[in-house]
Amino acid sequence: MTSHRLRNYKSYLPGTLFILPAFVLFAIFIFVPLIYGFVMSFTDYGGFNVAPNFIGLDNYTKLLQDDYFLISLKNNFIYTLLFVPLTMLLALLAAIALNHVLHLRKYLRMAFYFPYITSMVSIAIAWGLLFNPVSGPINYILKAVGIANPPEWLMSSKWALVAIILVAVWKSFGYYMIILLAGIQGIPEHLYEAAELDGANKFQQFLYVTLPSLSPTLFMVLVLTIINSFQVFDLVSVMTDGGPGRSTNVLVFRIYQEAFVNYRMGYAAAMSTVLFLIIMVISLIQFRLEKKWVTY
Amino acid sequence: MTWEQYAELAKSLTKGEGTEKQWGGYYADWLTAPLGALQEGTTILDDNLDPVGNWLDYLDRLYYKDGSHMSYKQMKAESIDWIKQFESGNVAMLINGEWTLNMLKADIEAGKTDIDFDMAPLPLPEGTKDPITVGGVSTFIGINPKSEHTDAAFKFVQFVTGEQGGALIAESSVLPAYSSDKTKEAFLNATGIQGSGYFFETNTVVENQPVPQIDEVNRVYSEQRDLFLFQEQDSAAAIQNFMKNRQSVLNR
Repeated sequence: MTSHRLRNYKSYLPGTLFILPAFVLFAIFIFVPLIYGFVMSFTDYGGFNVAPNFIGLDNYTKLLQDDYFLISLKNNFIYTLLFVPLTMLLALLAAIALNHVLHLRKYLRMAFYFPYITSMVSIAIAWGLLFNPVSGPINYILKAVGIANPPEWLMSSKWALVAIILVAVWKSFGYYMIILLAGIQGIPEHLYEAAELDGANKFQQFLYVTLPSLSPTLFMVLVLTIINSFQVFDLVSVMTDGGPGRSTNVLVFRIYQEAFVNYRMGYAAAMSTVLFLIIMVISLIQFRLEKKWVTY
Repeated sequence: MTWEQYAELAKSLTKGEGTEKQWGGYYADWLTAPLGALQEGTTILDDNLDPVGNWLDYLDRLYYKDGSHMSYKQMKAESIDWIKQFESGNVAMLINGEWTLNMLKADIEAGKTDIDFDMAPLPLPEGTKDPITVGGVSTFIGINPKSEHTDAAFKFVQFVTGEQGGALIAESSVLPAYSSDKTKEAFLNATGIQGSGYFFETNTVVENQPVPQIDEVNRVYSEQRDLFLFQEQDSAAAIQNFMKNRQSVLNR
Protein backbone atom coordinates (compact mmCIF):
# COMPACT_ATOMS: atom_id res chain seq x y z
CA MET A 1 0.00 0.00 0.00
CA THR A 2 2.67 2.52 1.05
CA SER A 3 4.86 2.05 -1.99
CA HIS A 4 1.77 2.40 -4.21
CA ARG A 5 0.96 5.76 -2.67
CA LEU A 6 4.56 6.95 -2.94
CA ARG A 7 4.60 6.14 -6.62
CA ASN A 8 1.34 8.03 -7.17
CA TYR A 9 2.57 11.03 -5.20
CA LYS A 10 5.54 11.43 -7.54
CA SER A 11 3.32 11.32 -10.61
CA TYR A 12 0.98 13.98 -9.24
CA LEU A 13 3.80 16.38 -8.42
CA PRO A 14 4.42 18.03 -11.83
CA GLY A 15 0.69 18.49 -12.39
CA THR A 16 0.22 20.09 -9.01
CA LEU A 17 3.14 22.44 -9.51
CA PHE A 18 1.71 23.57 -12.84
CA ILE A 19 -1.65 24.54 -11.45
CA LEU A 20 -0.25 25.96 -8.22
CA PRO A 21 0.19 29.60 -9.44
CA ALA A 22 -3.34 29.74 -10.83
CA PHE A 23 -4.70 28.13 -7.72
CA VAL A 24 -2.89 30.56 -5.42
CA LEU A 25 -4.33 33.50 -7.38
CA PHE A 26 -7.76 31.92 -7.23
CA ALA A 27 -7.44 31.41 -3.50
CA ILE A 28 -6.31 34.98 -2.81
CA PHE A 29 -8.66 36.86 -5.09
CA ILE A 30 -11.74 34.69 -5.09
CA PHE A 31 -11.81 32.18 -2.29
CA VAL A 32 -10.58 34.37 0.56
CA PRO A 33 -12.90 37.33 -0.22
CA LEU A 34 -15.78 34.86 -0.50
CA ILE A 35 -15.17 33.53 3.00
CA TYR A 36 -14.53 37.05 4.30
CA GLY A 37 -17.79 38.30 2.83
CA PHE A 38 -19.66 35.37 4.29
CA VAL A 39 -18.31 36.13 7.75
CA MET A 40 -19.06 39.84 7.27
CA SER A 41 -22.69 39.01 6.60
CA PHE A 42 -23.10 38.11 10.26
CA THR A 43 -21.88 41.54 11.41
CA ASP A 44 -23.02 45.13 11.15
CA TYR A 45 -19.88 46.32 9.43
CA GLY A 46 -20.43 49.82 8.08
CA GLY A 47 -17.42 50.23 5.85
CA PHE A 48 -15.55 52.58 8.16
CA ASN A 49 -12.84 51.86 10.65
CA VAL A 50 -15.33 51.08 13.39
CA ALA A 51 -15.08 47.58 14.79
CA PRO A 52 -18.00 45.51 13.52
CA ASN A 53 -20.31 43.77 15.96
CA PHE A 54 -21.39 40.21 15.56
CA ILE A 55 -25.17 40.23 15.14
CA GLY A 56 -25.87 36.67 14.13
CA LEU A 57 -28.67 36.09 11.68
CA ASP A 58 -30.17 39.60 12.04
CA ASN A 59 -29.14 40.63 8.55
CA TYR A 60 -30.81 37.59 7.05
CA THR A 61 -34.09 38.06 8.90
CA LYS A 62 -34.12 41.71 7.88
CA LEU A 63 -33.55 40.64 4.28
CA LEU A 64 -36.69 38.57 4.13
CA GLN A 65 -38.79 41.55 5.19
CA ASP A 66 -37.01 44.16 3.10
CA ASP A 67 -39.43 45.04 0.33
CA TYR A 68 -36.69 46.85 -1.60
CA PHE A 69 -34.60 43.67 -1.66
CA LEU A 70 -37.58 41.53 -2.63
CA ILE A 71 -38.39 43.88 -5.50
CA SER A 72 -34.82 43.69 -6.77
CA LEU A 73 -35.00 39.89 -6.52
CA LYS A 74 -38.25 39.84 -8.50
CA ASN A 75 -36.80 42.16 -11.13
CA ASN A 76 -33.78 39.94 -11.49
CA PHE A 77 -35.91 36.84 -11.97
CA ILE A 78 -37.91 38.57 -14.70
CA TYR A 79 -34.63 39.63 -16.25
CA THR A 80 -33.31 36.07 -16.20
CA LEU A 81 -36.52 34.61 -17.62
CA LEU A 82 -36.33 36.93 -20.61
CA PHE A 83 -32.58 37.26 -21.08
CA VAL A 84 -31.64 33.57 -21.08
CA PRO A 85 -34.03 32.23 -23.77
CA LEU A 86 -33.55 35.26 -26.00
CA THR A 87 -29.78 35.09 -25.85
CA MET A 88 -29.62 31.35 -26.38
CA LEU A 89 -32.06 31.47 -29.27
CA LEU A 90 -30.26 34.32 -30.98
CA ALA A 91 -26.87 32.71 -30.41
CA LEU A 92 -28.09 29.37 -31.78
CA LEU A 93 -29.68 30.90 -34.87
CA ALA A 94 -26.60 32.98 -35.56
CA ALA A 95 -24.34 29.94 -35.10
CA ILE A 96 -26.43 27.84 -37.49
CA ALA A 97 -26.54 30.64 -40.03
CA LEU A 98 -22.81 31.20 -39.79
CA ASN A 99 -22.21 27.49 -40.19
CA HIS A 100 -23.87 27.55 -43.59
CA VAL A 101 -22.17 30.69 -44.83
CA LEU A 102 -18.66 30.06 -46.02
CA HIS A 103 -17.38 33.26 -47.57
CA LEU A 104 -18.45 35.94 -45.15
CA ARG A 105 -18.08 33.80 -42.10
CA LYS A 106 -15.01 35.49 -40.65
CA TYR A 107 -16.40 38.99 -41.03
CA LEU A 108 -19.86 38.14 -39.77
CA ARG A 109 -18.36 36.35 -36.82
CA MET A 110 -16.37 39.48 -35.98
CA ALA A 111 -19.43 41.66 -36.46
CA PHE A 112 -21.57 39.58 -34.13
CA TYR A 113 -18.81 39.28 -31.56
CA PHE A 114 -18.01 42.97 -31.63
CA PRO A 115 -20.68 44.15 -29.17
CA TYR A 116 -19.38 41.69 -26.61
CA ILE A 117 -15.96 43.32 -26.51
CA THR A 118 -17.23 46.88 -26.65
CA SER A 119 -17.25 48.96 -23.51
CA MET A 120 -20.50 48.58 -21.61
CA VAL A 121 -20.67 52.28 -20.82
CA SER A 122 -20.51 53.43 -24.44
CA ILE A 123 -23.09 50.82 -25.40
CA ALA A 124 -25.40 52.00 -22.63
CA ILE A 125 -25.10 55.63 -23.67
CA ALA A 126 -25.57 54.90 -27.36
CA TRP A 127 -28.59 52.69 -26.81
CA GLY A 128 -30.01 55.25 -24.39
CA LEU A 129 -30.09 57.70 -27.29
CA LEU A 130 -31.62 55.11 -29.60
CA PHE A 131 -34.36 54.43 -27.08
CA ASN A 132 -35.30 58.11 -26.72
CA PRO A 133 -39.10 57.94 -26.75
CA VAL A 134 -39.62 61.19 -28.61
CA SER A 135 -36.73 61.69 -30.97
CA GLY A 136 -35.04 58.28 -31.02
CA PRO A 137 -34.83 56.11 -34.14
CA ILE A 138 -36.46 53.06 -32.56
CA ASN A 139 -39.75 54.78 -31.84
CA TYR A 140 -39.50 56.62 -35.13
CA ILE A 141 -39.46 53.29 -36.94
CA LEU A 142 -42.22 51.87 -34.74
CA LYS A 143 -44.42 54.85 -35.50
CA ALA A 144 -43.62 54.56 -39.19
CA VAL A 145 -44.88 50.97 -39.30
CA GLY A 146 -48.11 52.06 -37.70
CA ILE A 147 -47.70 51.61 -33.95
CA ALA A 148 -49.34 54.78 -32.75
CA ASN A 149 -48.16 54.76 -29.13
CA PRO A 150 -44.80 53.07 -28.97
CA PRO A 151 -43.50 52.24 -25.50
CA GLU A 152 -41.58 54.94 -23.73
CA TRP A 153 -38.70 52.57 -23.03
CA LEU A 154 -36.37 54.00 -20.40
CA MET A 155 -38.95 56.59 -19.37
CA SER A 156 -41.54 53.97 -18.48
CA SER A 157 -41.43 51.69 -15.47
CA LYS A 158 -43.08 48.95 -17.52
CA TRP A 159 -40.65 48.94 -20.41
CA ALA A 160 -37.34 50.02 -18.92
CA LEU A 161 -36.37 46.48 -17.90
CA VAL A 162 -37.28 45.19 -21.35
CA ALA A 163 -35.08 47.82 -22.95
CA ILE A 164 -32.17 46.81 -20.74
CA ILE A 165 -32.72 43.13 -21.55
CA LEU A 166 -32.68 43.90 -25.27
CA VAL A 167 -29.38 45.72 -24.99
CA ALA A 168 -27.91 42.95 -22.85
CA VAL A 169 -28.99 40.27 -25.33
CA TRP A 170 -27.53 42.27 -28.21
CA LYS A 171 -24.28 42.61 -26.36
CA SER A 172 -23.85 39.04 -25.17
CA PHE A 173 -25.17 36.78 -27.89
CA GLY A 174 -21.94 37.01 -29.92
CA TYR A 175 -19.94 35.32 -27.22
CA TYR A 176 -22.31 32.35 -26.93
CA MET A 177 -22.63 32.20 -30.70
CA ILE A 178 -18.92 31.53 -30.96
CA ILE A 179 -19.19 28.70 -28.43
CA LEU A 180 -22.17 27.16 -30.21
CA LEU A 181 -20.52 27.56 -33.60
CA ALA A 182 -17.54 25.60 -32.38
CA GLY A 183 -19.95 23.00 -31.06
CA ILE A 184 -21.78 22.71 -34.37
CA GLN A 185 -18.57 22.45 -36.32
CA GLY A 186 -17.52 19.62 -34.06
CA ILE A 187 -20.45 17.43 -35.04
CA PRO A 188 -19.10 14.61 -37.24
CA GLU A 189 -20.33 14.60 -40.81
CA HIS A 190 -21.13 10.90 -40.84
CA LEU A 191 -24.03 11.46 -38.44
CA TYR A 192 -25.70 13.71 -41.00
CA GLU A 193 -24.96 11.30 -43.79
CA ALA A 194 -26.48 8.43 -41.83
CA ALA A 195 -29.57 10.52 -41.09
CA GLU A 196 -29.96 11.43 -44.74
CA LEU A 197 -29.66 7.82 -45.74
CA ASP A 198 -32.46 7.08 -43.30
CA GLY A 199 -34.61 9.63 -45.13
CA ALA A 200 -34.47 12.59 -42.76
CA ASN A 201 -35.04 16.07 -44.18
CA LYS A 202 -33.07 19.15 -43.12
CA PHE A 203 -35.35 20.04 -40.27
CA GLN A 204 -35.41 16.50 -38.92
CA GLN A 205 -31.66 16.39 -39.19
CA PHE A 206 -31.51 19.51 -37.10
CA LEU A 207 -33.83 18.08 -34.45
CA TYR A 208 -32.35 14.62 -34.19
CA VAL A 209 -28.68 15.14 -35.06
CA THR A 210 -27.67 18.75 -34.43
CA LEU A 211 -29.52 19.43 -31.23
CA PRO A 212 -28.61 16.27 -29.34
CA SER A 213 -24.97 16.53 -30.42
CA LEU A 214 -25.03 20.15 -29.36
CA SER A 215 -26.67 19.48 -26.01
CA PRO A 216 -23.49 19.53 -23.91
CA THR A 217 -22.59 22.90 -25.40
CA LEU A 218 -26.14 24.14 -24.97
CA PHE A 219 -26.02 23.03 -21.38
CA MET A 220 -22.86 25.01 -20.76
CA VAL A 221 -24.32 28.08 -22.48
CA LEU A 222 -27.45 27.76 -20.36
CA VAL A 223 -25.47 27.65 -17.13
CA LEU A 224 -23.32 30.59 -18.20
CA THR A 225 -26.21 32.79 -19.30
CA ILE A 226 -28.12 32.20 -16.10
CA ILE A 227 -25.11 33.02 -13.94
CA ASN A 228 -24.46 36.08 -16.10
CA SER A 229 -28.01 37.31 -15.80
CA PHE A 230 -27.67 37.52 -12.03
CA GLN A 231 -24.60 39.69 -12.34
CA VAL A 232 -25.90 42.56 -14.46
CA PHE A 233 -24.95 45.88 -12.91
CA ASP A 234 -23.11 48.30 -15.18
CA LEU A 235 -25.84 48.39 -17.81
CA VAL A 236 -28.46 49.27 -15.21
CA SER A 237 -26.21 51.78 -13.53
CA VAL A 238 -25.52 53.78 -16.68
CA MET A 239 -28.86 53.46 -18.45
CA THR A 240 -31.43 53.92 -15.71
CA ASP A 241 -29.81 54.07 -12.27
CA GLY A 242 -32.39 51.56 -11.07
CA GLY A 243 -35.34 53.63 -12.23
CA PRO A 244 -37.91 54.74 -13.10
CA GLY A 245 -39.01 54.10 -9.56
CA ARG A 246 -37.53 50.69 -8.77
CA SER A 247 -38.40 48.94 -11.99
CA THR A 248 -34.86 48.19 -13.10
CA ASN A 249 -33.34 47.76 -9.68
CA VAL A 250 -31.73 44.33 -9.95
CA LEU A 251 -29.96 42.26 -7.31
CA VAL A 252 -26.34 43.30 -7.77
CA PHE A 253 -27.42 46.91 -8.18
CA ARG A 254 -29.23 46.73 -4.84
CA ILE A 255 -26.18 45.12 -3.22
CA TYR A 256 -24.07 47.98 -4.55
CA GLN A 257 -26.51 50.54 -3.15
CA GLU A 258 -26.59 48.97 0.28
CA ALA A 259 -22.82 48.54 0.42
CA PHE A 260 -21.47 51.73 -1.13
CA VAL A 261 -24.30 54.24 -0.93
CA ASN A 262 -25.88 53.31 2.40
CA TYR A 263 -22.65 51.95 3.92
CA ARG A 264 -24.30 48.82 5.24
CA MET A 265 -21.64 46.38 4.16
CA GLY A 266 -22.66 43.58 6.51
CA TYR A 267 -26.18 43.73 5.15
CA ALA A 268 -24.94 43.81 1.59
CA ALA A 269 -22.71 40.83 2.32
CA ALA A 270 -25.80 38.94 3.48
CA MET A 271 -27.50 39.82 0.20
CA SER A 272 -24.45 38.61 -1.70
CA THR A 273 -24.58 35.32 0.17
CA VAL A 274 -28.23 34.94 -0.79
CA LEU A 275 -27.27 35.64 -4.41
CA PHE A 276 -24.56 33.01 -4.17
CA LEU A 277 -27.04 30.47 -2.77
CA ILE A 278 -29.58 31.21 -5.49
CA ILE A 279 -27.03 30.69 -8.24
CA MET A 280 -25.75 27.55 -6.57
CA VAL A 281 -29.23 26.05 -6.21
CA ILE A 282 -30.08 26.82 -9.83
CA SER A 283 -26.81 25.33 -11.01
CA LEU A 284 -27.32 22.20 -8.90
CA ILE A 285 -30.80 21.74 -10.38
CA GLN A 286 -29.33 22.12 -13.82
CA PHE A 287 -26.63 19.56 -13.20
CA ARG A 288 -29.26 17.15 -11.94
CA LEU A 289 -31.33 17.66 -15.08
CA GLU A 290 -28.23 17.30 -17.20
CA LYS A 291 -28.49 13.56 -17.00
CA LYS A 292 -31.98 13.77 -18.43
CA TRP A 293 -31.51 15.84 -21.55
CA VAL A 294 -27.81 16.10 -22.35
CA THR A 295 -26.54 13.36 -24.60
CA TYR A 296 -22.87 12.72 -25.04
CA MET B 1 -42.76 87.26 -6.91
CA THR B 2 -44.91 84.27 -6.06
CA TRP B 3 -44.61 80.84 -7.69
CA GLU B 4 -47.93 81.54 -9.36
CA GLN B 5 -46.56 84.73 -10.89
CA TYR B 6 -43.39 82.92 -11.93
CA ALA B 7 -45.40 80.28 -13.75
CA GLU B 8 -47.45 82.90 -15.56
CA LEU B 9 -44.35 84.88 -16.50
CA ALA B 10 -42.61 81.77 -17.80
CA LYS B 11 -45.63 80.89 -19.88
CA SER B 12 -45.72 84.32 -21.45
CA LEU B 13 -42.00 84.15 -22.25
CA THR B 14 -42.25 80.81 -24.04
CA LYS B 15 -42.28 81.14 -27.79
CA GLY B 16 -41.05 79.58 -30.95
CA GLU B 17 -40.78 76.00 -32.11
CA GLY B 18 -38.04 73.54 -32.88
CA THR B 19 -34.58 75.07 -33.04
CA GLU B 20 -35.98 78.55 -32.49
CA LYS B 21 -37.74 77.54 -29.32
CA GLN B 22 -37.30 79.77 -26.31
CA TRP B 23 -38.36 78.30 -22.99
CA GLY B 24 -39.82 80.65 -20.39
CA GLY B 25 -37.97 78.83 -17.66
CA TYR B 26 -35.73 75.87 -16.97
CA TYR B 27 -36.18 73.69 -13.92
CA ALA B 28 -33.44 71.08 -13.87
CA ASP B 29 -34.42 67.43 -13.39
CA TRP B 30 -31.93 66.98 -10.56
CA LEU B 31 -33.56 69.66 -8.39
CA THR B 32 -35.38 67.09 -6.29
CA ALA B 33 -36.03 69.17 -3.19
CA PRO B 34 -39.64 70.39 -2.99
CA LEU B 35 -38.76 74.09 -2.89
CA GLY B 36 -42.23 75.51 -2.38
CA ALA B 37 -43.01 73.08 0.43
CA LEU B 38 -39.68 73.76 2.14
CA GLN B 39 -40.31 77.48 2.00
CA GLU B 40 -43.62 76.87 3.75
CA GLY B 41 -41.83 74.94 6.48
CA THR B 42 -42.68 71.41 5.41
CA THR B 43 -39.96 68.85 4.88
CA ILE B 44 -40.19 65.37 3.39
CA LEU B 45 -39.88 63.97 6.89
CA ASP B 46 -43.17 65.50 8.07
CA ASP B 47 -46.41 63.65 8.63
CA ASN B 48 -48.54 66.03 6.63
CA LEU B 49 -47.15 66.06 3.13
CA ASP B 50 -49.90 68.10 1.46
CA PRO B 51 -47.53 70.98 0.58
CA VAL B 52 -45.21 68.45 -1.07
CA GLY B 53 -48.11 67.04 -3.06
CA ASN B 54 -49.07 70.54 -4.10
CA TRP B 55 -45.50 71.20 -5.16
CA LEU B 56 -45.52 68.06 -7.31
CA ASP B 57 -48.69 69.28 -9.01
CA TYR B 58 -47.02 72.63 -9.56
CA LEU B 59 -44.08 70.92 -11.29
CA ASP B 60 -46.52 69.00 -13.46
CA ARG B 61 -47.92 72.37 -14.47
CA LEU B 62 -44.52 73.80 -15.37
CA TYR B 63 -43.32 70.74 -17.25
CA TYR B 64 -46.41 69.55 -19.02
CA LYS B 65 -49.57 71.62 -18.71
CA ASP B 66 -48.13 75.08 -19.40
CA GLY B 67 -45.30 73.83 -21.56
CA SER B 68 -43.19 76.71 -20.31
CA HIS B 69 -40.32 74.52 -19.13
CA MET B 70 -38.58 71.70 -20.95
CA SER B 71 -40.47 68.59 -19.93
CA TYR B 72 -39.03 66.22 -17.36
CA LYS B 73 -39.10 63.35 -19.84
CA GLN B 74 -37.12 65.29 -22.38
CA MET B 75 -34.50 66.42 -19.88
CA LYS B 76 -34.02 62.86 -18.64
CA ALA B 77 -34.12 61.22 -22.05
CA GLU B 78 -31.60 63.54 -23.59
CA SER B 79 -29.38 64.13 -20.54
CA ILE B 80 -29.61 67.84 -21.18
CA ASP B 81 -26.79 70.00 -19.88
CA TRP B 82 -28.72 72.62 -17.92
CA ILE B 83 -26.13 75.33 -18.06
CA LYS B 84 -25.59 75.03 -21.79
CA GLN B 85 -29.32 75.53 -22.28
CA PHE B 86 -29.19 78.79 -20.37
CA GLU B 87 -25.98 79.95 -22.02
CA SER B 88 -27.29 79.33 -25.49
CA GLY B 89 -30.01 81.86 -24.88
CA ASN B 90 -32.80 79.31 -25.23
CA VAL B 91 -34.00 79.84 -21.69
CA ALA B 92 -35.39 83.05 -20.25
CA MET B 93 -35.31 82.18 -16.53
CA LEU B 94 -33.20 79.60 -14.72
CA ILE B 95 -33.90 78.37 -11.20
CA ASN B 96 -30.70 77.24 -9.55
CA GLY B 97 -28.20 77.67 -6.75
CA GLU B 98 -25.70 80.42 -6.13
CA TRP B 99 -22.80 78.44 -7.60
CA THR B 100 -24.37 79.08 -11.01
CA LEU B 101 -23.02 82.60 -10.71
CA ASN B 102 -19.43 81.39 -10.66
CA MET B 103 -19.99 78.90 -13.45
CA LEU B 104 -21.55 81.51 -15.69
CA LYS B 105 -18.85 84.04 -14.99
CA ALA B 106 -16.13 81.50 -15.69
CA ASP B 107 -17.78 80.53 -18.96
CA ILE B 108 -18.19 84.16 -19.99
CA GLU B 109 -14.53 84.83 -19.27
CA ALA B 110 -13.54 81.75 -21.21
CA GLY B 111 -15.54 83.04 -24.09
CA LYS B 112 -17.99 80.15 -24.22
CA THR B 113 -20.99 82.44 -24.02
CA ASP B 114 -21.85 86.12 -24.07
CA ILE B 115 -25.23 86.19 -22.37
CA ASP B 116 -26.30 89.08 -20.23
CA PHE B 117 -27.82 87.92 -16.98
CA ASP B 118 -28.95 89.14 -13.60
CA MET B 119 -30.32 87.49 -10.48
CA ALA B 120 -33.53 87.66 -8.52
CA PRO B 121 -34.66 86.04 -5.31
CA LEU B 122 -36.47 82.71 -5.43
CA PRO B 123 -40.24 82.97 -5.95
CA LEU B 124 -42.27 82.56 -2.78
CA PRO B 125 -45.42 80.67 -1.89
CA GLU B 126 -48.64 82.65 -1.61
CA GLY B 127 -48.84 84.60 1.61
CA THR B 128 -45.16 84.49 2.51
CA LYS B 129 -43.90 87.99 3.19
CA ASP B 130 -40.20 87.67 3.96
CA PRO B 131 -37.88 86.37 1.31
CA ILE B 132 -36.86 82.81 2.05
CA THR B 133 -34.69 80.53 0.04
CA VAL B 134 -33.66 76.92 0.19
CA GLY B 135 -30.07 76.07 0.92
CA GLY B 136 -27.90 73.13 1.63
CA VAL B 137 -24.84 73.15 3.79
CA SER B 138 -22.09 72.18 1.44
CA THR B 139 -18.67 73.14 2.65
CA PHE B 140 -17.34 72.07 6.01
CA ILE B 141 -14.10 72.64 7.82
CA GLY B 142 -12.87 70.37 10.57
CA ILE B 143 -9.88 69.80 12.81
CA ASN B 144 -8.28 66.39 13.06
CA PRO B 145 -8.15 65.54 16.78
CA LYS B 146 -4.84 63.75 16.24
CA SER B 147 -3.07 66.81 14.82
CA GLU B 148 -0.19 68.44 16.69
CA HIS B 149 -1.37 72.00 16.24
CA THR B 150 -5.03 71.94 17.19
CA ASP B 151 -4.84 75.43 18.72
CA ALA B 152 -3.43 76.97 15.59
CA ALA B 153 -5.93 75.06 13.52
CA PHE B 154 -8.76 76.41 15.64
CA LYS B 155 -7.51 79.96 15.15
CA PHE B 156 -7.51 79.35 11.42
CA VAL B 157 -11.05 77.98 11.53
CA GLN B 158 -12.15 81.07 13.44
CA PHE B 159 -10.53 83.24 10.78
CA VAL B 160 -12.02 81.44 7.81
CA THR B 161 -15.52 81.35 9.26
CA GLY B 162 -15.35 84.93 10.52
CA GLU B 163 -15.97 88.21 8.74
CA GLN B 164 -12.46 88.65 7.39
CA GLY B 165 -12.31 85.18 5.94
CA GLY B 166 -15.79 85.61 4.56
CA ALA B 167 -14.77 88.79 2.78
CA LEU B 168 -11.78 87.06 1.25
CA ILE B 169 -13.96 84.19 0.06
CA ALA B 170 -16.44 86.68 -1.35
CA GLU B 171 -13.70 88.33 -3.38
CA SER B 172 -13.50 85.11 -5.42
CA SER B 173 -17.22 85.36 -6.22
CA VAL B 174 -17.98 82.50 -3.85
CA LEU B 175 -20.89 83.05 -1.49
CA PRO B 176 -19.47 83.21 2.03
CA ALA B 177 -21.18 81.71 5.05
CA TYR B 178 -20.65 84.87 7.07
CA SER B 179 -23.29 87.41 6.16
CA SER B 180 -22.53 91.05 6.85
CA ASP B 181 -22.29 94.40 5.08
CA LYS B 182 -18.57 93.94 4.53
CA THR B 183 -18.86 90.49 2.96
CA LYS B 184 -21.85 91.60 0.92
CA GLU B 185 -19.88 94.53 -0.46
CA ALA B 186 -16.91 92.32 -1.28
CA PHE B 187 -19.20 89.86 -3.02
CA LEU B 188 -20.95 92.54 -5.08
CA ASN B 189 -17.63 94.03 -6.12
CA ALA B 190 -16.36 90.64 -7.17
CA THR B 191 -19.37 89.50 -9.12
CA GLY B 192 -20.39 92.81 -10.64
CA ILE B 193 -23.99 91.58 -10.73
CA GLN B 194 -26.38 93.80 -8.82
CA GLY B 195 -28.85 91.02 -8.12
CA SER B 196 -26.27 88.92 -6.31
CA GLY B 197 -26.80 91.05 -3.23
CA TYR B 198 -30.13 89.27 -2.71
CA PHE B 199 -28.31 86.29 -1.21
CA PHE B 200 -27.55 88.35 1.85
CA GLU B 201 -31.10 89.53 2.38
CA THR B 202 -33.03 86.29 2.65
CA ASN B 203 -33.55 83.63 5.28
CA THR B 204 -32.41 80.17 4.36
CA VAL B 205 -34.27 76.95 5.10
CA VAL B 206 -32.22 73.77 5.05
CA GLU B 207 -32.71 71.51 2.07
CA ASN B 208 -31.65 68.23 3.69
CA GLN B 209 -32.59 67.60 7.28
CA PRO B 210 -29.71 66.26 9.36
CA VAL B 211 -31.01 62.79 10.14
CA PRO B 212 -28.84 59.74 9.42
CA GLN B 213 -31.19 58.21 6.88
CA ILE B 214 -31.78 61.39 4.91
CA ASP B 215 -29.96 59.99 1.88
CA GLU B 216 -32.24 56.97 1.73
CA VAL B 217 -35.37 59.02 2.35
CA ASN B 218 -34.29 61.35 -0.44
CA ARG B 219 -33.80 58.40 -2.73
CA VAL B 220 -37.22 56.87 -2.12
CA TYR B 221 -38.79 60.32 -2.48
CA SER B 222 -36.99 60.81 -5.75
CA GLU B 223 -38.18 57.40 -7.00
CA GLN B 224 -41.82 58.30 -6.45
CA ARG B 225 -41.25 61.77 -7.82
CA ASP B 226 -39.77 60.19 -10.94
CA LEU B 227 -42.81 57.99 -11.43
CA PHE B 228 -45.04 61.03 -11.00
CA LEU B 229 -43.04 63.19 -13.40
CA PHE B 230 -43.02 60.38 -15.93
CA GLN B 231 -46.79 60.63 -15.64
CA GLU B 232 -47.26 57.09 -14.36
CA GLN B 233 -49.06 57.99 -11.15
CA ASP B 234 -50.80 61.04 -9.72
CA SER B 235 -49.43 63.11 -6.87
CA ALA B 236 -51.69 61.51 -4.26
CA ALA B 237 -50.41 58.03 -5.12
CA ALA B 238 -46.85 59.32 -5.21
CA ILE B 239 -47.13 60.80 -1.72
CA GLN B 240 -48.81 57.68 -0.38
CA ASN B 241 -46.18 55.33 -1.80
CA PHE B 242 -43.47 57.64 -0.56
CA MET B 243 -44.84 57.60 2.97
CA LYS B 244 -44.96 53.81 2.94
CA ASN B 245 -41.38 53.50 1.69
CA ARG B 246 -40.18 56.20 4.03
CA GLN B 247 -41.59 54.28 6.96
CA SER B 248 -39.64 51.15 6.09
CA VAL B 249 -36.47 53.21 5.65
CA LEU B 250 -36.86 54.93 9.02
CA ASN B 251 -37.70 51.63 10.67
CA ARG B 252 -34.35 50.07 9.85
